[in-house]
Amino acid sequence: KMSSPVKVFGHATSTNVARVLLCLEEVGAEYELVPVDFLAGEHNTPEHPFGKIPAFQDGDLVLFESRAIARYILRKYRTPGSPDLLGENGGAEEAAMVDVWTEVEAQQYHPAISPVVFECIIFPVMRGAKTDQKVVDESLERLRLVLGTYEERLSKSRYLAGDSFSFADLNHFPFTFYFMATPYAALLDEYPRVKAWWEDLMARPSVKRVCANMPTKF
Amino acid sequence: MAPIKLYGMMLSANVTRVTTLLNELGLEFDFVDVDLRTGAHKHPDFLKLNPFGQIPALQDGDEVVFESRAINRYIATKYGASLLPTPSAKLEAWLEVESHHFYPPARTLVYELVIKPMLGAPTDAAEVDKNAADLAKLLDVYEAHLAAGNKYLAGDAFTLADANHMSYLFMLTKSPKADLVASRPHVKAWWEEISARPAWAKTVASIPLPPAV
Repeated sequence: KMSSPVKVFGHATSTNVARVLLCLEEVGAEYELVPVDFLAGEHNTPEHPFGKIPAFQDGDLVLFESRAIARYILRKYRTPGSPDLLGENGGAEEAAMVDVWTEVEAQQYHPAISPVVFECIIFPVMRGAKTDQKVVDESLERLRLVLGTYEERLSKSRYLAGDSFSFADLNHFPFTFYFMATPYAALLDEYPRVKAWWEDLMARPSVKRVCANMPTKF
Repeated sequence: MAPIKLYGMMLSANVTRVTTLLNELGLEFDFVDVDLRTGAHKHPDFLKLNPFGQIPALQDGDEVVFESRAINRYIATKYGASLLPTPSAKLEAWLEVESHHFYPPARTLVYELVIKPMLGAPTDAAEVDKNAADLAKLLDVYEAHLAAGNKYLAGDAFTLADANHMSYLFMLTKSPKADLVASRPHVKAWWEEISARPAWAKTVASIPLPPAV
C-alpha cells in the first residue's frame, strides 16, 4: 500500500477510541494511535471541535465522532476478505437492520449501561469520586428491561441485525467490556443468549487485539 | 404497491423527524396513531413492530424499521439518495453530532418547556438551566462551523444531517428558549433557510401544538 497509516487521536482505554480501533482491526487497516493529553488541554486542537476523543486523520481528511469515523473506515478500507459490517452490499433492507440495532445501542443500551460504568469505574478512577449507588440501581433496572428485549431478539437471529456479525454488535463492545469489570458482571448470566453473544464477540481476533490495551482491574 | 405506514403521534419530534423526511421526498404514507397517553405503545401488536415500545415505527411492505434515525437512513437510501451523498464523511460526523450532542439537551428542553405545560406538569427549572447552558455551548460550535463557509451542515447542499435537526429545532423555536437559535446569526440563517423549504410547511401543519405555544 502506498498510503500512510491513518491516525487516531486518543487513548486505547477510551470507549469511543476502542470503537474506532475495533473497526480498523476488523478491516485490517494500518493505523497509528496518537495519545492526547486531556489534562494539558491538548484536546482543544483544531481536530477536536467538541474537545472530545477520538479525532481521526486520513491524509487531508480530519474527522470526529467515533461512529462517523467507524463508518468511514468500514466503507473505505473494506477488502474482499473482510465482512460487510454495515450491510450496505445487501441493499437498503439489510443495511436498515444494521442501522436499527446500531441506533438501539446508542439510544436504549448505552443510556442503561453507561451510568454503571461511569459510577463504578470512570468517576472513581478519574475524579476520586464515590459511587452513587442510586444511579447504579436505577440503571441496572433499566438495563434488565433492555437485556430482556435483547434476549428475545437473539432467540430469533444469531446476531442483533441478522445472521451475520455487524457494526451493530461491534458498537456494544466498549461499554460492555468495562461493565464486565464492575461488580455487576453476573447480570449477564441471567440472559443466556446475550451472554453467549457477548462471549462470541469477545472471541473475535479483532476484539482480543483491542482488549489487550484496555485494563480490567482498577 | 402498499403505501408506507408510519406509526406514532405527531406531537413527538422523534416522529416528525421522520415525517420531515417523508414530506421532503414527496413520499405518500399512511399515518397510524399510536397515542402514548393511552399506552398504545406497550400493546402487544405495537411491540411486534418495535420491541422497545417506542414511537416511531415504520412499515414499508414487509420491512419494519424502528429508531427514527435508522428509519431516516432507510428512507433516504431507498428513496432519496441525494440526501445521503458521497463522499459522506462530514455528513456522517454531523449526523452523529445531532444524535449524541444536540438531541439530549434539545429533547430535555422541549420536554420541560413545551410538553410538560401541555400535560399540566411543573417545569424543572434546574434541568432547563443546565440543558440550555449545554445547548448554548454546542450551538456556538455550530455557529463557528456555519460561519466557516458551510451553508449547510455537510457543506453546500441540504442533506439528511440538516433534516434530522428540524423537528427539535422547530419545537425549540416555539419554546421560551428560542433565543438559543435567534441570538446566533449563522444558526438563525441556517434555520430560516431550511425551514423555508416548501415541504417543511406540510410537516409543520401536521404538528398539533396548541395556539398559545
